[in-house]
Amino acid sequence: MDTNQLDHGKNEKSRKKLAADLAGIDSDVLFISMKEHEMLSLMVDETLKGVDIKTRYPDFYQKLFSNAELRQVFLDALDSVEAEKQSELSAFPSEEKPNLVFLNKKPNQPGIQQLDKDRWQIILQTTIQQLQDIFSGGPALAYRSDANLFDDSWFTLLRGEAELEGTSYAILLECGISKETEQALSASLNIAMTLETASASAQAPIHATLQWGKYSETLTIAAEGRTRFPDIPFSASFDQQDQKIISGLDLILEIRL
Amino acid sequence: MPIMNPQREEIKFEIEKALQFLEEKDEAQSAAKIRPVLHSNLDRGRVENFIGNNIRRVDEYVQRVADQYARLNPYINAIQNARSDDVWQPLFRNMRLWAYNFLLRKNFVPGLSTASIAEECAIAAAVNLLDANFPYDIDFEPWAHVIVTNACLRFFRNGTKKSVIPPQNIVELDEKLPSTNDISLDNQENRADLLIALSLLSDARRQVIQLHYLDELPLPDAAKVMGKSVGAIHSLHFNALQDLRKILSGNGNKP
Repeated sequence: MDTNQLDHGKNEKSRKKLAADLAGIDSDVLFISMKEHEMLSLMVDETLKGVDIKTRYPDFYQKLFSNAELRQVFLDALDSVEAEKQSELSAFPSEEKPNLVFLNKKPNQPGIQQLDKDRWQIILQTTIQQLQDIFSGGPALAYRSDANLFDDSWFTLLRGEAELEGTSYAILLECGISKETEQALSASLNIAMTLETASASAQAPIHATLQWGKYSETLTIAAEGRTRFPDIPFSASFDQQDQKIISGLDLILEIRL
Repeated sequence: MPIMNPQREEIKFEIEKALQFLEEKDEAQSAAKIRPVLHSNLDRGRVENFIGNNIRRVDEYVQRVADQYARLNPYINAIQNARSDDVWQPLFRNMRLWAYNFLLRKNFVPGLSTASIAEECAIAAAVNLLDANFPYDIDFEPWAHVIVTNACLRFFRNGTKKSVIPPQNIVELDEKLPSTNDISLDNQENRADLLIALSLLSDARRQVIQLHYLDELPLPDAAKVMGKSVGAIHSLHFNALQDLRKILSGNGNKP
């Protein structure tokens, strides 16, 4: 390496950049936030598409410098995709057909009830056991953010599809740790509608009720889209130590046709 | 009541504008289907991450999600809703292969015992994948790879949790690197130290520093010059910086 390159005036910018990167590397940050976790797959995808992520996503790249754990997940995932692309994977030593018994855990099938001539109810439920499985073994949610750094930052609480009078509804209820309220979950409901027949038309607003332990809230929402429920305090659905889920969860959609 | 971030509201507005544009292009069905996806991604911070400070990138993001949705939704549906054997057999075989190779890269011994751990990790990843919300702003493969990688790392973490070291056996290790926060390469002496430090790096690590900082090449271009994958370049880059920091700290090039 030519020493003049470092001494040359035009390389002042390079020196500053290197000094800044050196200062940033491994700043003892061990926590992977939800936002950073969400970024990982996007960063791996962008890197593989040839995007210069250091320039395009400087904030995230800085986090890769400062957080050794985040950096390791990023590099491991990248390694994994690249090894496959370059056919560098070692063969799996067993030819046994995989046992896909885990697929039998079918998504929740909604119950449909006709309340009167033009009023219907779609009911979706998640049992305590299913919720415990979702929160993987029931660790305290309060500590999830640092105890399970690599877990998916959002949980799907309910997913279901229902068909009513020529319109199918895809329903998804998910939650994450609330950013606004301490010791609480933030839950969002997604509803996507598909009109199966030409005669089917857009529906009137839907009343969505979420009940979980001591929590019960009803929202009136447009026929489809994403709506957020008021935050769910841990104390409403977990026991005092926040260690166990105390109740199953019900989502009731009331639709007027 | 949640606090509304004005920028978030601005992004929401731009998303709706972009969706309206799609509707005008006779893609009303597509707009309706991706609206919940976009709002979900906005809640997760993905949209903000993608656009950075450039609000004009919202259009690009919405179009990207619309394209990916049209391309990948049938497959995602087959995986998460139909769950057919035809789709899952090849996918699961891949996932356990990725997990197996991940373990090999972490120095596990090739063979059936590692294969059995890989199978366990792949099942955990598959269960996760069944319920996860695909964001449609990326391809399926990187997303699935990240899920498998996370499942493998969770396996390590759970293993570590199970083996508790008795407190009397814990030895304090001082592995913290000295601070180089105020490192300056402006004066002649520090530049000389840096040159010495650079000379101590491996050839590949030194070359990355040369190409990226002195020749000002973006890392993907440096990868091409060196004939390496981008993953390898990022790894070399991070490792080179760590080495440099260690050497410079030891050299007395401190604040």
